[in-house]
Amino acid sequence: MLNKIVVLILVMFVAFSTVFVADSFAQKPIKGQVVSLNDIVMGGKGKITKEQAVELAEKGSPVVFKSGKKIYFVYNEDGTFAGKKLAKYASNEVVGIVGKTKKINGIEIIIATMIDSM
Amino acid sequence: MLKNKFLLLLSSFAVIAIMMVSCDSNTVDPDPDPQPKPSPASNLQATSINATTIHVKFEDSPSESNLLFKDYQLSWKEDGGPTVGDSKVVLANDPNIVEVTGLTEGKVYLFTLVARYTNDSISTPITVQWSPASRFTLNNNDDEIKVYETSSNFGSGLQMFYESDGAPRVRTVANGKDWDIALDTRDNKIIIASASKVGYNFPTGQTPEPTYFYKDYFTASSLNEIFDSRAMNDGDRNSNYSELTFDLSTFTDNKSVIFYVRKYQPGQTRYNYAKVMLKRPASGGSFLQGSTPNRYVLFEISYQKTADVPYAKTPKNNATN
Repeated sequence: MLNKIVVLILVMFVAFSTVFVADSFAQKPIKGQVVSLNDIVMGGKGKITKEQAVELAEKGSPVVFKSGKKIYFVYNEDGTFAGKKLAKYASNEVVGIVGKTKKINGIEIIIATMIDSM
Repeated sequence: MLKNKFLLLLSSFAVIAIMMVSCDSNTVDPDPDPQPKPSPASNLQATSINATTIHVKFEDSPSESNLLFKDYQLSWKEDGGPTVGDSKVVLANDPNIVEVTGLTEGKVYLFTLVARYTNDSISTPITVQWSPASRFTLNNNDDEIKVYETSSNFGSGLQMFYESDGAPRVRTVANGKDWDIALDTRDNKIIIASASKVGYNFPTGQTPEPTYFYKDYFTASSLNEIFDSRAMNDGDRNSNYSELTFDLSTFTDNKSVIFYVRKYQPGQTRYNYAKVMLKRPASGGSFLQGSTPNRYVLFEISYQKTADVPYAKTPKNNATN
């Protein structure tokens, strides 16, 4: 019986650890720029104006967030893709996002609680 | 003999002349039945709603209770511009706030209000001069105008109007040169100040320029409630702008706070004027919203893009700071 309890506690510990490793939340914003994924795929730097970004987002073309060498797909807290919201910040030199980061099947994700210029 | 006749003739002429004058004075007797005339409305004031719209407010004429009372006529024209303007009729039962649309920002308009009787007589006119101004509730990212607490990595500085984006924007210390107004929340205070007066460590070359605040602030639930009849630099007001700081942490009135502000924009030597409102949350409570370390205050801004137009007519005898 004691063994079962120990095993249960260990399983719970591992499970919680996994969650905390997979989901990282920071109050400090992740700094980066709003970019066009299509442009990056085509070898460009992805830099776009606000007007271009809004137009791309309206057409369903992915507007994403580049921080260092990482490209993040940004989602709202309700689980919807935040490309249209992100597009409005495209003209800022530096944008900050506060939220939870995840890596799912190698894809970097931010569940954003805050987006603003920096 | 001839001389006497001549004197007599002269005397006769004199008597006739006196009689004629007397008769004339009889013809300008006061009208025995004068047309009654309404008393004017009072306290005519204005406020800018946006770049093309102004609200004008007045207090009723005491003659509204007279059976002859017909209505008010509000007319307006560009000050110093063409003599023909536009007008609007306001009935006694209508609200005393009149919306005037189709105006142009930067132009000062002369508004004239008269009360009218059904007998076509009108009151003495009352006037106010005013100019519409741009209104911003959103920043250059189409988001609310949030300025963050000192400990946040987001910006604690507000640029009232960023020409390239045609809207306000929020800046960090790294871009101190762009700051007009600063938020400082150190020591549990909520200080709103000229960016030049907060002790932030701006990088070399990024020290903000002064922003001048009028010595008094106003409280209201909305910027639309801030009516005025005087220019923002009228008379003694002009000498009461300086680089001020306001600590709102102990401010107990459950309303928003409005500041009169002016600043030289980069490369300019003439002031742009603004009314900046620090918004109280709809639920009341502290101006600071959100959670640490990214709490923020919300702003709404009325900004006059045309320099040297302090919303109303510029007084002629103004000195500069």
